[in-house]
Amino acid sequence: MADRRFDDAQYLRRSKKNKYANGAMYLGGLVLDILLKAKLLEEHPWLQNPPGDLARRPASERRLHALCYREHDLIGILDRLSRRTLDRLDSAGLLKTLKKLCGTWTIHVRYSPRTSEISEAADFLNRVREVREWLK
Amino acid sequence: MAEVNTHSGSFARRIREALRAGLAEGGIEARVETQKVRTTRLHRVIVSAPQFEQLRPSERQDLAWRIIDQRFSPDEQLLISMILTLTPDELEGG
Repeated sequence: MADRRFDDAQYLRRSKKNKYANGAMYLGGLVLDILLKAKLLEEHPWLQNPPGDLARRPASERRLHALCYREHDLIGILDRLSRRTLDRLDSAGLLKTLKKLCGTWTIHVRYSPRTSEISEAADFLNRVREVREWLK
Repeated sequence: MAEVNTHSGSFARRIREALRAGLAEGGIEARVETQKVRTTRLHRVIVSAPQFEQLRPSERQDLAWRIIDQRFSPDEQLLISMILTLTPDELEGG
């Protein structure tokens, strides 16, 4: 799924048209969203078969469930990844890149009305490609 | 990894001061707020400045994290979960 979204983003990037830059960046962020959610599922296997009555579960579990199934909150997921995963990312020199990507994407989709340029999308996707290999 | 001994309040204050001072060196008058992420040792940072209008979101991120990189140890940096870099208009409309 992440590979397909990345290919979609690259297709838009290759158009070299600024009007597709926002779409390319949006899809690039979804690649991170999918891969980070996969990490959450790996670290919290119960999320793969969540209990039916979530309302009775602790708030922390309800939050994890929402992050995994209902939201596209990259920073929220990052905050809840295990120390071990973060340390491994950091050792690979990719943690800061990932934090910047999550920050950029969050600004892009939640706050900024501006239209990106295709060069910006290309730079964003290049960085996504770096961390994608590690997160797979 | 070495354990970082940071008092949460003073650590947050250091983040705010470092970003304000670092950005001011580049002519950016920023407002900086920090939030503690519940149930964790992490801090989130929100920086707003009108001058960000001239910068792409990725450039703002590079700038803010470069300042943090210069003034905090690698272990301390791990305690900063994210830095949102917004213009006042973006912050208002978000």
